[in-house]
Amino acid sequence: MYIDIGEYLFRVDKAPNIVINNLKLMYDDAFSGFSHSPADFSVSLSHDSLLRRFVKPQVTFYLGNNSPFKPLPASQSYPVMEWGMNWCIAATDFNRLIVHAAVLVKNNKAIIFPATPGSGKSTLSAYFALSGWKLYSDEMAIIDLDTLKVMPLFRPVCLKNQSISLVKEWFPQSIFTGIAKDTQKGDVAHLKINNFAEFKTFSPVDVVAIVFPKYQKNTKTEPYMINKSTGFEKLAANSFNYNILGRKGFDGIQRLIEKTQQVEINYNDLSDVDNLLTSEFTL
Amino acid sequence: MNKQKTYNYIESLIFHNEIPIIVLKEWEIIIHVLREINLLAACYFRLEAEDKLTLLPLFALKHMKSAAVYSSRQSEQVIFESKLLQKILDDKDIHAVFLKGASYTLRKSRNSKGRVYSDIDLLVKKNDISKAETSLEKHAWRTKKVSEYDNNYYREWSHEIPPMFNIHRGTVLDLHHNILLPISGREVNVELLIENCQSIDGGYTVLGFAATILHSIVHLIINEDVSNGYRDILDITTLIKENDSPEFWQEITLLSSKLGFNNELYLALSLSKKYANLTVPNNVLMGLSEQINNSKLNFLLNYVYFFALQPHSPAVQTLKHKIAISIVYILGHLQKMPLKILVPHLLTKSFFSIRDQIFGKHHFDK
Repeated sequence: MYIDIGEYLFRVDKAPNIVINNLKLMYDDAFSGFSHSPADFSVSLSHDSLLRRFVKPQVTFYLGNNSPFKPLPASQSYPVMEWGMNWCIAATDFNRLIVHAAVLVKNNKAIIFPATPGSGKSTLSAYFALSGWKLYSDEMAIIDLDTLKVMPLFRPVCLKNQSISLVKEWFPQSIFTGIAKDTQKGDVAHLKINNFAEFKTFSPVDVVAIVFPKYQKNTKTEPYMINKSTGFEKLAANSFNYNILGRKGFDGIQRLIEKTQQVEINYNDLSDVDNLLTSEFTL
Repeated sequence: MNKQKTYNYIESLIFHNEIPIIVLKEWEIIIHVLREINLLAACYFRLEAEDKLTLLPLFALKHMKSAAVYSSRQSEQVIFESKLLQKILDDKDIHAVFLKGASYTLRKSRNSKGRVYSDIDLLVKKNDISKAETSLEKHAWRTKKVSEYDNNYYREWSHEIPPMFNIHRGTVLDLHHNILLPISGREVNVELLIENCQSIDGGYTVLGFAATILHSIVHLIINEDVSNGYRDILDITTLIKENDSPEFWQEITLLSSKLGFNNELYLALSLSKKYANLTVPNNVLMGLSEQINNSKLNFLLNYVYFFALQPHSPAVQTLKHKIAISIVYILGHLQKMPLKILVPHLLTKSFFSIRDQIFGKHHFDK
């Protein structure tokens, strides 16, 4: 089976049925039995010992023959598959700058939301994506180092803990996987945003801003411009491959910082953030 | 593509820089195998040197290029660490010799382009080991925690101490006092090796070319783990081609006689001929043949090593490869240890391996 996420093609050699079913649900037509294109990665998810198939079952993620993570409980199979796919990209693609961030697009302009602690990145991704923005990624911004455009990825949003019920409450029609309990990130469920057909109309776009949101309980939504050197530092710190790219990565981040604005936003209401960004960047 | 065909394409790509004429979809398997055996970046630089990158489909080029970026970063890191290590040990008057991957990078030999490393290997005299360990500890290097069994194994029987790592950068360092296990009974006269050292740009000391190649050969053949065997043969053939001269052949045969590695040299040269069509002067192989047990070695060569060293990837491996790898596993151990130590060692290892098969690999991790 193949998963086409736009920039990358995965070949799935083996996975438990529950994973296959969730892949069908999350990736619809992008998950198919055949592909004319060569796959970038061949991955599998398997039980690694006979006993472990029955007693406290565990699964291991493989890229080819190599397993980057320790085995995890089989109840977490689907998140392990998604995280494994993230790992494949982050560990092998040094042609582009990759930032741990959500990317949302409106009016053909992209805003990058780096995954700083407490940013509520995934909740924000889900809210925005279900309120008229295009989701380019919930987890990683893939930035072309020549054009500085950000590429769309066809992936679900990974929601954790209370965010799951919040999003279900806000958008009762939304499509979720089941909840995997007690993972290293707490309770986790994946949320489908686009159909593959819609996604195929997305193309690489320019970035207008790097936004560092900060959720605070009792606060008015307020933006603060941050200076360029802080912006550089924070973006580099959230990049998966900045330290590998060397000079090219440094130049790329510098050019990106020069041509975008960097804003910190304290918020407690996502619709305020939506309105603020829409008017600020004429989206 | 069947396994044999896949293997043939990989062999001509790696050793002869021949780009396979295949449909785009078939590149999938080629790229995945190259990634598994850590040779994507090496392919990139080898094809670049022959101006052949433009002949690659974009799919293959992008994966090779990405791996090349990573390996270039690693060689910068090796040069950086080597500079610091050299200073730390120099300050304590410890003479350190850079071995294997780090030495290829420091001397800028052709095989260093695109090579990936797991660690930096250093050789110091045995009575300098603990001084070296202490001064490295003062500079943020720590000994990796290994099981008590493994720690005893290293300290009592091995030619190196447990790996050290830098607490800031995670770089791994292997500190050796010999190139072979003392217990193998084939411990090398380190003085003789150090005599064969050369000083290179940057003030580093590395083994001379013949000794470097012989070390690479010994490390490949006297080893139970040949998962990087294909890469090692590429190292060996590339290094030899770079230094091919009558003097070189004289030097390496002389050194291998002195150190007692004629069998290993014969095997590695024959393998290089088989995979890479390496030209070995007739008198060299004939000279070696006179000093070794030909029929036994030729059997090992044709039925064991020839298969065991081929890419460790399900896309090319068949049952005969797996059997060959198991034979090498036992042979490698046998060469390293006398039976009275080997048997308990393998029993302990297989106890842990069977335990892990039942409970899962990380069940007993702390």
